[in-house]
Amino acid sequence: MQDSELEALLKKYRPVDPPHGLEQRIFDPPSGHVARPERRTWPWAVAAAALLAITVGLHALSIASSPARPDVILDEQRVQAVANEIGGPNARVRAEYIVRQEQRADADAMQARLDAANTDQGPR
Amino acid sequence: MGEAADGDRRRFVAGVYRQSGPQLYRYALMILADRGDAEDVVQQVFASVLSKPALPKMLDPTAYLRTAVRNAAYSLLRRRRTARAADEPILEPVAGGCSPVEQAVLQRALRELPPEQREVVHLHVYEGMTFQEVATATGESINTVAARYRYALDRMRKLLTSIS
Repeated sequence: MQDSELEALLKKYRPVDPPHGLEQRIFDPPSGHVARPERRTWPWAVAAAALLAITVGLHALSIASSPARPDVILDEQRVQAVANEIGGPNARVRAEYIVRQEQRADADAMQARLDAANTDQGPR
Repeated sequence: MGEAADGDRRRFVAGVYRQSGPQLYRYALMILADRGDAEDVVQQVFASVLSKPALPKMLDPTAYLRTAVRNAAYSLLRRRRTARAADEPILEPVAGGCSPVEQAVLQRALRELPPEQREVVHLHVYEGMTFQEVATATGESINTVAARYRYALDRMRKLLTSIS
């Protein structure tokens, strides 16, 4: 079969026409129907957004509980005493954490007592 | 103001569809060899144009949309993982002396071609483009286009001979 014969055979046919409903699907989609979106999805973008949110959240959390928080001045004697009790290479760090939690708890309790006292006195 | 512009855009795109929509559908069909996928691609391309706040610059709307259809079709092919049903017709007779058997054999031979070769056959045989025009439309070199056409005819010839 020569090229010309093959081409002549092809030209006896042609690709089929689109269905009549295609134009309507494009220009008059049913109400509530949004044009069909591309099937491409972006799972990596969703994952990256989730990762970013988690990172930001953890960072904020770490700042909130940061040892560098300036509102607590550690009782050095208490820290030393606790560190001596704990012992070991990280005793100082662990002691600072424990004492900081203790002092915050004490401060919170003090504040609660003050609030309660003010409430009991009431307005004069 | 916005609604008027939107209406103008829709009328313009509708005119482009009436002029070139069937041609673009047949192009997508010959790349994809699947009627449902060809419908999806054409719908996606026109819907994308309609959804833009302003029409893209289209000196030649048909050429612009042909490129968009081509990109969407190959993008779909890359994502497509399952073979499509080969029982639906992708060709229809336009001349006398056709037979269902001949049509089925020709369709099967076309389906056996890689999409890039089917595309070149379509643009050259059915759209009447020269190899240079096909090269411009597809962004390939003219040598690549000519080679694809050569491979396509050789392969079809072998398939048709073996089937016959």
